[in-house]
Amino acid sequence: MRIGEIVREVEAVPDPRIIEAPVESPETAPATKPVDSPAGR
Amino acid sequence: MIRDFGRELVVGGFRGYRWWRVGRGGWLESPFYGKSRWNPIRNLAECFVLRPGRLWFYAHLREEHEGGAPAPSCDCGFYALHELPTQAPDYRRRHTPWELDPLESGDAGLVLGVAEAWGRVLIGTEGWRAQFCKPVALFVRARTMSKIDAPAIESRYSIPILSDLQALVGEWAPDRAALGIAAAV
Repeated sequence: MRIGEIVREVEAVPDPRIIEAPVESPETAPATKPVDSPAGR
Repeated sequence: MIRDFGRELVVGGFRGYRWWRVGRGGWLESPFYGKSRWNPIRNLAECFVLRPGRLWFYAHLREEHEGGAPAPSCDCGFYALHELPTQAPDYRRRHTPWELDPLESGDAGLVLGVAEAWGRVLIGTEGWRAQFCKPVALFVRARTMSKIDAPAIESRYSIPILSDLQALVGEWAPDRAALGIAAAV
């Protein structure tokens, strides 16, 4: 292929917004104790 | 904009149109020169220049550019175009094999698609050459003369294979503003 006259030279880094963040799995999520509601007392 | 010794640092990749050859098992390969298989995630360009070898043979020899491929002074790197290729007259085809009718994508084992580039990218008026590249979408017309194993490609690359060229353009066309080049006339 021919790209024509070179007009720019760049260093492109992948967009960090499309890097997936680690997702906390249910197994590792902190356990929560059920709290009695005031109405139930 | 940040400049790193004359090279702009930008966030995000660049898209462009290019051809691949479909190999056995759904592998995408370099279409015209060599038969390198494309990795689905990341491909690193290397420079292999043609040099006269012993007798009349020409040898593919590795060329080490300072900073790697693509080098402005060379022809190396992964290539793609800002616009869809157009059909060239037969007499010119030998020198510009990529100038094929996009609507023939899928025939003769060649498929047109969109590639994404990052790393060092040399942006030209008609296309780019890049250090890193991967396929992101393909167009294969509905009825092709030779069978294209689309399920094998999809399975290997996890990319969409569209049967509507305008859909490919509408969804995946290169962003000329991001490329920093004038809009097509």
